[in-house]
Amino acid sequence: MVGVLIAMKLRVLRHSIGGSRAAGMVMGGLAGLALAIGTIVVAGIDGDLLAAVFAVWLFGWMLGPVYTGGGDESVRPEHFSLLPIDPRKLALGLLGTAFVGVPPLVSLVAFSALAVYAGSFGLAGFTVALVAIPLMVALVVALSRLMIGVLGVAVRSRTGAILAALVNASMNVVLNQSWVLIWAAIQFDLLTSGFPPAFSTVVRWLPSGWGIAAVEAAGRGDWLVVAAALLGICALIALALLVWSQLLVRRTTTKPLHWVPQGTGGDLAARGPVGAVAAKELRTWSRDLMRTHLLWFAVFFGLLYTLVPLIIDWYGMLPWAGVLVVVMAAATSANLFGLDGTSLWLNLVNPGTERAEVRGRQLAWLLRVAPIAIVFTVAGTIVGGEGWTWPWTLSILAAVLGGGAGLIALVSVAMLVPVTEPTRRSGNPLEAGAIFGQVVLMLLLVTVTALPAGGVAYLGDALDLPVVSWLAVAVGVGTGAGLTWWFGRIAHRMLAARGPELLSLMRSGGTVSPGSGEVTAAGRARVKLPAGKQALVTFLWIFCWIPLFPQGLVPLWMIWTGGDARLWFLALHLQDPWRIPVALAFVVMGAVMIYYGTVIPNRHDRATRERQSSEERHLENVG
Amino acid sequence: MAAALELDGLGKRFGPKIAVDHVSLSVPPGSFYGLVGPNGAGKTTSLSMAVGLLRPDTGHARVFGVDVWDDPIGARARVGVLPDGLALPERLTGRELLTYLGRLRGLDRATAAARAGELLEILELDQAERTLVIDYSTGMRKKIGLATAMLHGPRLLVLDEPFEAVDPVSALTIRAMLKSFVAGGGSVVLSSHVMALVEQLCDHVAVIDKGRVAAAGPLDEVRDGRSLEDRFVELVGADVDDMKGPSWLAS
Repeated sequence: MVGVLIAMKLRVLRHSIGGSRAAGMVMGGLAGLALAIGTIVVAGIDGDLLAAVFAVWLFGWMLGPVYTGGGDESVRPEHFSLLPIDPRKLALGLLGTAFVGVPPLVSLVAFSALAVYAGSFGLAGFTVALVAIPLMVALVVALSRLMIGVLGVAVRSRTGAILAALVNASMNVVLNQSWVLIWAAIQFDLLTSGFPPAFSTVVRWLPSGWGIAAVEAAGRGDWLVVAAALLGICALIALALLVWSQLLVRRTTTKPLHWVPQGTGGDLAARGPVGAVAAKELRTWSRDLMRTHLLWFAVFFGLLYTLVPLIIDWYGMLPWAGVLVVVMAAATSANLFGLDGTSLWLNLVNPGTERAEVRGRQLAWLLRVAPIAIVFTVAGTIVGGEGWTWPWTLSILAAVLGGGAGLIALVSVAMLVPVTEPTRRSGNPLEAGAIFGQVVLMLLLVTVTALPAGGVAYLGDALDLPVVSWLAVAVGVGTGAGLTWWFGRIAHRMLAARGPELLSLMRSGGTVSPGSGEVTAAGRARVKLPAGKQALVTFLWIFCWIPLFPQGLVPLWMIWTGGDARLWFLALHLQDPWRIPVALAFVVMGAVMIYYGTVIPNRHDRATRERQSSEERHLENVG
Repeated sequence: MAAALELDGLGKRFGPKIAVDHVSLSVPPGSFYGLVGPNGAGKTTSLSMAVGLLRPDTGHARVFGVDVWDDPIGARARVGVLPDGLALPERLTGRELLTYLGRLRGLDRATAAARAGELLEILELDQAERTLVIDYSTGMRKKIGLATAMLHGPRLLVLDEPFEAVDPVSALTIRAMLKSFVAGGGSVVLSSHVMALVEQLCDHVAVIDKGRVAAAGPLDEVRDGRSLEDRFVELVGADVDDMKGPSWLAS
């Protein structure tokens, strides 16, 4: 049966590989391979370090499914719920399919680091390593499947969506704030003095360290420990399979009960059309798993981002937690209309409701985000700020709240990204569609809306006039209110003007650009890029952030504030005439990468269309 | 002889709502059994519990005397099911899907391929040889689901709304298939909203309303000399004379 299931999965993979997915697989595989080779290198350095790295692999396998909301689901247990197959046998078969793919291969390379490590433990150690390597791969895959089993039961719930948001936000924060971790590592002098003993003990007792224990014991000739470690791994695999098979049964024979929280905003609905839309939106924010996920992602991101520097005793970021939450929430909410799918038809058959639809959505977003942001800002400024920080944080918070409320309306109408219909969505946060570019654009635009308020606050500090500093708050409230009103107005007029185009765009995921001179057929799918170009575009979008933020804008900020830390910021390691130009050059490089990341698919799209239409004309002429 | 399908006091509650309230039905072998009822009456929930897709709170379900929940493997081997809103491996073609499922059902390679080919041909899905299931229309999904239910040659078919969204010609094909299956000694249980269809096809019928069995038995007994539609309306307690449009509409 395992054979049939594997053949089935291979066939599914063959049918689904193409364009962006193949590119993603290649990129992911290469990145994984680099990490695996890094693991082998580590094996030559130190046992404690290797145990720690293996622990990272184990947690990667277990957290990966949380991140992707259920992992690889090309062959799902539901497909076999009608077949007369014993659940334990099915679990074993599905485990077999889990070994098909790039990640298990990469992990096999990584865990073969054990054989390198065994080099210093003689032939006995090496032999044990050869047995332990496949067992370790089987262990991480089985534990990962178990995690998916747990998620399969939990992911369709609100708790699951919030949990996935926490993991997602943590990963993003770790990537963005990695300089803090590097600094911490330097401060604690890990490279020369090794890990603290307690940490080493923990990573060695984790199941991921049992293979190392077996190899070391073999080197000592302590065969009792070898047997205990290897049998322990086998027992854990068996236990994981047993529990997983029970979860499979539960997953295919029970129905998730959708818990409906009591609606908020009942009074709102009584206050005219705008209130009714706001009440509907508030309910959707708490009931739609995708929106719950996106909102909580912003909250966790802002909080963790400012908390991580506490590791190195830096409290200076805390006052900005609220502002970060607002900026990120605006960025993840910028596909407001896309997330609701084709329910836009309700507005099309009720002309004249566009204004209420847009205003109500803005109001609901503010009601959801503002209270959290205000609490974070006030608490953060009390803990981590000083007297002069108050006008800064309050004015910028007001500015981005208003700017965000305006921009989410405008961008969600002007740059709608088609997403899986709400009725067909699972809890998978990756189903949020190709909103990456939109998120980035929003991060930049929302930051720009804070400039007037920030400028006045800076002026107040520079002139040392508290009155001017506090004037910044008024400016922030003013620009915020103005932008909310103005962008909202553009948005609802645009919605009224091109509602049908937006609906057909959501239906088909095609591109429609009315009035821009190059009208394309409504609902036509975007032309697929060849794999090479797709890989290039993916590369540009993934790596443009490094020159733009950590190597560009952050060093500029640090030069501006006169900090003396250098870390991994290249520009800060240079002498003075060069510091600012180099940082600026990095910013330009990031911007150029974003530009080409956008332009290459567009050009390809246009070129393909022109070629097609000229071929059609040619055919007509021949005909 | 054991009933082809027996529902014995099945009950299910979702939160505060009682979806199915002690439903008991007996489907005689060789019968064509229709299950009718208003929207939300509990038809799909009852059928799901009867075939092992949803664990009941109370009661038992038996397929040819084999308890679905005590011996799920034995029961599943004896029944073919077309569930409502079924999950399928979307990125396979129809032929691949049927072949793999046949292999998983324990058929050998040649038999699985031959049966898949025959079913695709009868259901006229063989023209869509290069189409993945994800790109199938609603009607085609129904047909491929029906094919998976018949693949292993069961003696009982349990079909949830098999004619929904199927075009008239395909519907005739499916009807002919089901009729010859019953003529050959098989049993069919199907749920439907179309009274005329149930009247034409079925020899037994059960009316389910508000999670309970309102009437069940041979068609003529349940009809009691009237049309099934009239009898149905009477059983579920709808007053036809009282039905009217909204007061503000067309006034």
